[in-house]
Amino acid sequence: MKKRKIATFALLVFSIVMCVGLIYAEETVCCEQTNNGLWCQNDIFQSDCSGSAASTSCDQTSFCQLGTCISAEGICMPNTPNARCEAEGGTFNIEPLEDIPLCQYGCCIMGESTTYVTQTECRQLATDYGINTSFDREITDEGECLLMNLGNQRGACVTETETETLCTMNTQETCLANSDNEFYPGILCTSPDLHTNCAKTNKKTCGEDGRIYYLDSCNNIANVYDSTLYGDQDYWIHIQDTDCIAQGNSGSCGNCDYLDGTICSSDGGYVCKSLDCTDLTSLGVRDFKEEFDRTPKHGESWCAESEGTYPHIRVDPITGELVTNRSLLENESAYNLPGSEYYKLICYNGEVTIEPCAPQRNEVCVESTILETNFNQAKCQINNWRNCNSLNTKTDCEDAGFFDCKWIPGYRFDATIVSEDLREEQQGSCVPLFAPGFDFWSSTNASTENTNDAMALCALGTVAEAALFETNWVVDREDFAGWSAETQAGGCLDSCYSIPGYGEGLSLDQLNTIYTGGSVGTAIADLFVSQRRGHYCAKRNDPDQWLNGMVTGEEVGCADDERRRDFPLFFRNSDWISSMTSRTKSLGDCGYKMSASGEMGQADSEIITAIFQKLKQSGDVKENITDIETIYRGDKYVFED
Amino acid sequence: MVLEREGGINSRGQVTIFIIIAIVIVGLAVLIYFLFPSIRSNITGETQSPSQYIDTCMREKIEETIEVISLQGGSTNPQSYYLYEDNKIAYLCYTNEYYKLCTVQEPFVKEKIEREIVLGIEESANSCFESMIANYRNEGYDVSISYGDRYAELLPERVVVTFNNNLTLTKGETSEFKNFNVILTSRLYELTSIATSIIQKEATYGDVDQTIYMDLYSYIKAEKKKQTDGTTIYIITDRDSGNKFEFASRSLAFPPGV
Repeated sequence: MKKRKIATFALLVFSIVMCVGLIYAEETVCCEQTNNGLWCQNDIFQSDCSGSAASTSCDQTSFCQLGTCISAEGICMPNTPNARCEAEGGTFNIEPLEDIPLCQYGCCIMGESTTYVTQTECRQLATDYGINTSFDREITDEGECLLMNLGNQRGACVTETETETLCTMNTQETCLANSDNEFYPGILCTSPDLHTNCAKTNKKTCGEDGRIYYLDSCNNIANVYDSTLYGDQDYWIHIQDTDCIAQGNSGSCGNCDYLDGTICSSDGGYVCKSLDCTDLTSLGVRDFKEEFDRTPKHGESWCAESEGTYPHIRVDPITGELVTNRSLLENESAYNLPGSEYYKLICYNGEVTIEPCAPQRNEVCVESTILETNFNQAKCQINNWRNCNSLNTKTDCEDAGFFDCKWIPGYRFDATIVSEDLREEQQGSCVPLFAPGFDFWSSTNASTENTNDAMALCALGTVAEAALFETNWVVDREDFAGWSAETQAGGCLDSCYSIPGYGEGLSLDQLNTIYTGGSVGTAIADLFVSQRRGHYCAKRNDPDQWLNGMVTGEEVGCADDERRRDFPLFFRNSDWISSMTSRTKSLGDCGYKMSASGEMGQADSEIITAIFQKLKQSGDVKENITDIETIYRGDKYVFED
Repeated sequence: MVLEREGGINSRGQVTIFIIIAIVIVGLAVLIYFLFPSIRSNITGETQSPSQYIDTCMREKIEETIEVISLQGGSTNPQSYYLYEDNKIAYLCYTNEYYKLCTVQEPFVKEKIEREIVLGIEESANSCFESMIANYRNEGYDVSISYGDRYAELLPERVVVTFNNNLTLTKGETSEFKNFNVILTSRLYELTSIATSIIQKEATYGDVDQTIYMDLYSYIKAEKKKQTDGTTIYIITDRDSGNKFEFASRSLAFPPGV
């Protein structure tokens, strides 16, 4: 009767909770525009939506259908909602950007300069500037467009007056806008044949392309500065390039190359200034120098040596495969600590800028060096740790091209134990190589949900073991602490590795020898290992029935191939603890470990509790002898304090 | 003899004092001349032209407005934004979901900024034209004005703000002035073009290597700052002027937990 009432009561309570939940749930919708101005978002509460709404996903609505939005000036924007595009006066096209001819980029040539835009934008620029432009759709690389050499487009623009012949360097279009002018393409104003009043000088200036140019006496830009060509007559007649190579802070050659790390500077005379980051006091430069024995070049990037992270993770520049020894990365107590983050450092224009990788180690920084040029590149690479738990074999887990995970032999996440022939490949857990971080310190509702997720993730590392002891009638089962070592370890039948100190002092080879029936030269009774034959052996042809009786002497006589039980997951208590803690700490900001700032976490985040129970012959619990007690906290057993 | 010496000392001291006073007066006059243009024009007899007046009156306000807009993702008052270093930075591309590409919120950033500039200078523009009219009336001119539209244009290496107002000044002769322009040297067009390119890539791929813009343009510094909630703040700086354009994007975000 009582039970029925309880059941009923439990059922009733459950039902009430369900009904309350149903009444107050607010529908979420696809919202055309939210109250705070966001367009076309899914999962928005109706009350937060000021525009049209639909109970379907946004991509199934007409107003939030995504496509390419094209402006009258020729700007094309992909992934734009229909409604947003119309609101901005654009033309909506369902096709992706790359399939729309109007949206293809090319090189727009406007006089002496170039810009990488669409053809419509190019026409608009012509209107804005009142000049003619030409559009080269064959050039599809922005760099190639910007670096186009338009020198031949320029020339001497000569104007005859009554008293003198004036000359400026210009484009043909600009020059001939005045019909009195004459244009000489590719010719400098200092050409003797033009009889201008412009003469060569030693004056220089920085050009818009970052190179150093000579100026003539009329202040026209002449050719790229090359001191070896100053006396060459043709050098002052024709527009020409130079082959000289500007070294860092070169004073004789003005052929600076920005991509190569030099640029015109007028400080202290005109030189091609080096853009490398040579200041050792700049962020990360000293670390770079210690690692690579030189300072960073302009354009190079590298990983910062931030607290709690592994410095300079190296990958192959072509394949992206891990080059750094994987085992070095696997110390979860030293790297990827709570609060640690990866940063990429970038050298440009003599200045180091910092780019944080995604927080909570959702990205890690990796580096590679292009051998031909000795040029270092770093990038923030996504940490694909979420896939690790689903990989069930060591090979899949540690695939060279996918180094986000590592394999920890021992427990599987599904808590099963595979047969011995599959142990090496399948008996273990695939966990993140770079333990992710959790946002467990802030107090928002979203963070509460994140905290719950984090706790659930850390809880994956929890295990329960039942060490089984077989005793005889003289042993007081209610006084485990009073048992001799011989009884504590010796009396163990199963999961013996969970006994504090089990197997201590013995190597894995020695334990393997004992387990397979061999001798290590010492009586088994004198070692802290099991003396129960059932721990090692099963009845012939019946693996579920363990043998009774004690082991004698130095060997386990029954442990032949036919009767030996499968190996335990662990031989020693220390191996058991090491595997568990390593697995748990690798899952994320879990377990007892130091933070990036040097503070240890709470010792209670890693505990082992134990309860001692007396069993019946059937295996059912007869009674609890002790309460649940904590026997291990942080990084040691409590009795070791 | 003594009297002559005493008279000599007094004379020199007086001269010194007079010289000092004269210097102070001249200095004050110069200061006033440069600090109060209307006085200058009265003194010299030159009247500042209407276009010069508007340029002087509006230039600083336009620069301030551009700076505010540039640091807030192109808006004078962002509605949907990320708070970064106490600045509200508008989202130009956004999704509230994880693992999804962002939905473009501002397809035409340049046009948006042009509109916001006009909005931001509205009051000041009205005030400047009113004060100019009052100024000319005080100088004895008959003034009539018809107000037209006003717009801003972002062009390569400059920003042009145009007031299509027609002003007629009559004082003996009649002069007409149309289309008042204020032209600022600014690379906002270039910064905005780069922002547009970044948004295209954020919407297509979920991320972009911003260093490519520093490879292409030596005067550009491009920074990317990823935030805890998956937002990325982009900061595009013109190294020569120090001017920045900042905006936010949230694309292909990963949850911090499982």
